[in-house]
Amino acid sequence: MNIDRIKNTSKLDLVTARPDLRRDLHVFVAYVEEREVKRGHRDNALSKTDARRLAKLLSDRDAESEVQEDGNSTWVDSVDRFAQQLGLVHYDMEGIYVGYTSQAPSFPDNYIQVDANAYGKLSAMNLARQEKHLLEAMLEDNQGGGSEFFSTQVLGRLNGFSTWGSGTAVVPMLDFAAIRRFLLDLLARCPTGEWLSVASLVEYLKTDHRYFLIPKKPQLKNKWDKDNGRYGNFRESKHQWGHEIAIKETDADGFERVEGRYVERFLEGIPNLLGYVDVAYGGRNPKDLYPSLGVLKAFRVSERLHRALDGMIAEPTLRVTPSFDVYVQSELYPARLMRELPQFCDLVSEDTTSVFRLDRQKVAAAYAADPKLNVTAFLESLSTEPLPANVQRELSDWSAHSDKFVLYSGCSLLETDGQTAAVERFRVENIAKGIDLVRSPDRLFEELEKEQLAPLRIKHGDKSFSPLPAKTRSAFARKAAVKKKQREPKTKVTLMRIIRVQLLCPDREFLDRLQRLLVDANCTVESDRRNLSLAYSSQYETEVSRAIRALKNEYEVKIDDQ
Amino acid sequence: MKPLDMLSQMCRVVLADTDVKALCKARGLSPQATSSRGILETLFLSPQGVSNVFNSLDRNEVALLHLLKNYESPVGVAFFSRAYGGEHSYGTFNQRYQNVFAKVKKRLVRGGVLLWAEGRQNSWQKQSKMERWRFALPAEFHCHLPALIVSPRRFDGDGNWRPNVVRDKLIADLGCSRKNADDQIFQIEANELQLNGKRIEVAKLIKWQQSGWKKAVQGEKKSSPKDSDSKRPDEAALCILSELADGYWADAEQLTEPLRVFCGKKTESDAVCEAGWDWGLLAKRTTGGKTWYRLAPEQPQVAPHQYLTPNEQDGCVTADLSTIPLQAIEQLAAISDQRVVPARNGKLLLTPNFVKLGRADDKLLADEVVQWLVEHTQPFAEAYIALGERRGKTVLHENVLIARVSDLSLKVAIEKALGINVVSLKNDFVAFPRGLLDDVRRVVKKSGHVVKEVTAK
Repeated sequence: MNIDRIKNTSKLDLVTARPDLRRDLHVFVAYVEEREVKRGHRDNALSKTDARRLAKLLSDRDAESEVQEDGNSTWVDSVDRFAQQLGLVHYDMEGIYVGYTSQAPSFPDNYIQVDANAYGKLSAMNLARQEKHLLEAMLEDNQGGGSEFFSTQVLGRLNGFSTWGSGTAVVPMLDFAAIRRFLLDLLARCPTGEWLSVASLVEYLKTDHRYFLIPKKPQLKNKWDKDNGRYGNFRESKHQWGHEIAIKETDADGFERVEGRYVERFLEGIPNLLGYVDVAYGGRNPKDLYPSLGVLKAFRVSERLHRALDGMIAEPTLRVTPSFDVYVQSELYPARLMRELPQFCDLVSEDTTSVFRLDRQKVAAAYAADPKLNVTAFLESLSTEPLPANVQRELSDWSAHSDKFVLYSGCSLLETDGQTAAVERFRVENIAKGIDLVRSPDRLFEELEKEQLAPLRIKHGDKSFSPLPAKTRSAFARKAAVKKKQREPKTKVTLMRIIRVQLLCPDREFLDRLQRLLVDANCTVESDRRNLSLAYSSQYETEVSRAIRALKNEYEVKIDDQ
Repeated sequence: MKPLDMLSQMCRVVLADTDVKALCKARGLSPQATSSRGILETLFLSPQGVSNVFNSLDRNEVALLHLLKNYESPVGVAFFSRAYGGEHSYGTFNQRYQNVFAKVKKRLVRGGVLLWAEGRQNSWQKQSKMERWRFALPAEFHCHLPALIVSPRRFDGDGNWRPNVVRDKLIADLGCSRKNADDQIFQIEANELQLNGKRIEVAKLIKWQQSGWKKAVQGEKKSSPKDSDSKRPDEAALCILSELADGYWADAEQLTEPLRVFCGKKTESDAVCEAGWDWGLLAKRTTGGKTWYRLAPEQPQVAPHQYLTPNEQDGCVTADLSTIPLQAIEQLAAISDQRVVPARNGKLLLTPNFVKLGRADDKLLADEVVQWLVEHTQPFAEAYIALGERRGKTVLHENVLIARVSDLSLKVAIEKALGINVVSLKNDFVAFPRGLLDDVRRVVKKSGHVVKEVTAK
């Protein structure tokens, strides 16, 4: 197979980085598992709140701004759809017509449910099988009008043919899954790590596999379709919504205009999404026809394609250093490890090689939650090298830490003289002679009453112990006595002191003028016109002095304090 | 709305200058109160002039304020319509109560005896400002209110009352041959005397009397007071008569007007009081062709030997239901088993119940009735001694959490954090109140440990 190399890619727009679909599928399922995610009643879409939260968690950098602007994100919606397509989550897709005159279905209380069984099966597979499973599902999806011919791909830029009439003529006959497999096999035979010409690939297909997409003589059903020929479904135009130009089989460039366009869109579709190829776009000429042709200029096949098709994706490997760092190396997202390691490690960085750090408290908590857990054995089973001696020793110590604080829940405490037979049947643990942890306190109390032991039942407060009756023999008695001695907390009181000053004015005119000046200065005063007095709080002393000073041109003011 | 908040709002926001002037004049407050709202707020609750204002009110207004005294929360303007009348039965709230509001403001607010403030707007229903006005009588003024009954008569003695209403019913029900008859309320179930299926209590017995009185006054129909501020006739009569001083009596005629104000409608005071006497809650006496009423006196104190008789043969005790005080019935039911004595109507046979004795509190065990039983009957004495020996030795603690802490530094940290709210048990176990679990978790986490939970199955 001879396909031209492209040596100078400086003028091309190279797409070599992409969001990680494999990771995001697991993140999406974990998100739905944690929360009750309800889909829109009318549009069956994710709510803006969920979309925003998911955008933050998923790996597409633009998702957050898309949600902010449009209320949804293409990538978030795609992950949601892939999860549903893989059977990892379920929700109603058909809806119900609520009223007699309903024009569209509604989706009341449409909660996303995680299929734990399907997800468990997927997680239990090794990475190679997981990859096959994902690839197969994607190859089988989007037939007919949903194929690359008519729709823009998740990470793609190229537009599609008009879907008008795509349910008739030749398109419904095409087996797109087989076509995609054929093209993937073809790509696998291409040299890896080199930029190859898309036009050259199309040329090769035209020469050697002219009918890889549309059969030479398709079994068309009616005369109209027969008259339109093999390319009857495909029409192009000079403008996006312009006059449609039919593509004839007899046209010299018919293959490039139909099959060539498909190849371009296929390359930017599944192979690009799964990281099997990188793609490079050229500029678009304003005079180009719609849908675009020849915009995707080059592609570069990755080694991953070979390994994925051959089922040779390597399992993740793990290496623990003496500084308690755990290095996880994996070609694809190691979902199982990424779920299990955070139980006893902190995530330091996430990439092809992810770095974790073993944490003492987390290890102890993991042992406390699952006494059968063996962190050392787990790490050793995945590690390429033996665990460092200091790590093994510390892990052993940390496991013992889980037993330092054991909390007994659902129990009551019974204090007896140590000779009560009824305790045996209700005992959870014997603390010491005459002190037992017991279950079913109601039934036990009845038994104790029947045995005529005159038991006392003390319901302690939520935040403090209740006092016990006098002469009670109990370890709690001393604490209750201590509590009695405690002094009542003093009530805190804040007194506000306001010092009021009263000015007695000589006449009503002076009072009015002074009051007016004070009101202008936003000073609160109480005036008593009958007694010719002004009363104000001492905090306004400055304002009052200023007001009196303002009157000094006309009055000689003297203040006589009493 | 708290009274002090109402006072502050009234003095600083609600009252206009004209209102303040009128208020100060009526109460005779100093001129400073007129010019300063702060001083008015301080002086308002003083007793100055309150009695004068109260004495200037008519009887209906006095009855109204006595009724208002019984409510803890402030009332709306509609409450006063029972005294001031004049409200329309049609139109908006403002149209209906405009006249009532004007009178309340003129007579009581400007009289300086009522707190007046604006309540909060309902979130579910928009209310006019007048609907939101709230009024309250300050607790400081209660003692200055004139007597509700004008010129009550003083008589010596308890008069005529029926102390045996409950006991008669008890004897009748227990002597009834047909079990679960329709009107039977007392019965013995599982050796326990019960009232309507529950252990007998004095408070429930009084409630039973009150419900009997209520039914006698209004029949079987459900009560439908005109508004939520009105009282039932029986409740109103109890409230009004409880205002009488010791030794004083009121006749039915004197109750007519207060009852009308309390119930929000005209009520036959004769029939109400007679029914109250019939159910043993009121005492009456007839003098000078008039019947006088007051609340029934307290049940007389009766020594235990007057109604309890020890049986020499089997050690049981017989209780005489015709003389036993109601309080003693409750106490005996709480410590013993009861049986009807065959062929001896009005007698109950008591035997000690150790389980009940074990549940009894120290106050009950020290009571005169229980001590008499212990002193005079062997079974009760034996049970009491056994109880004394066993009580306090078996203790079931609930709402506590137990943990085993095998790290000494962690244990010290927990004890330091919880102080007296942690009990150290033997073998590294500690107990603490359930509500402090979050605090304990915090200490455990801070000290670098984890909580391992063991759940009892």
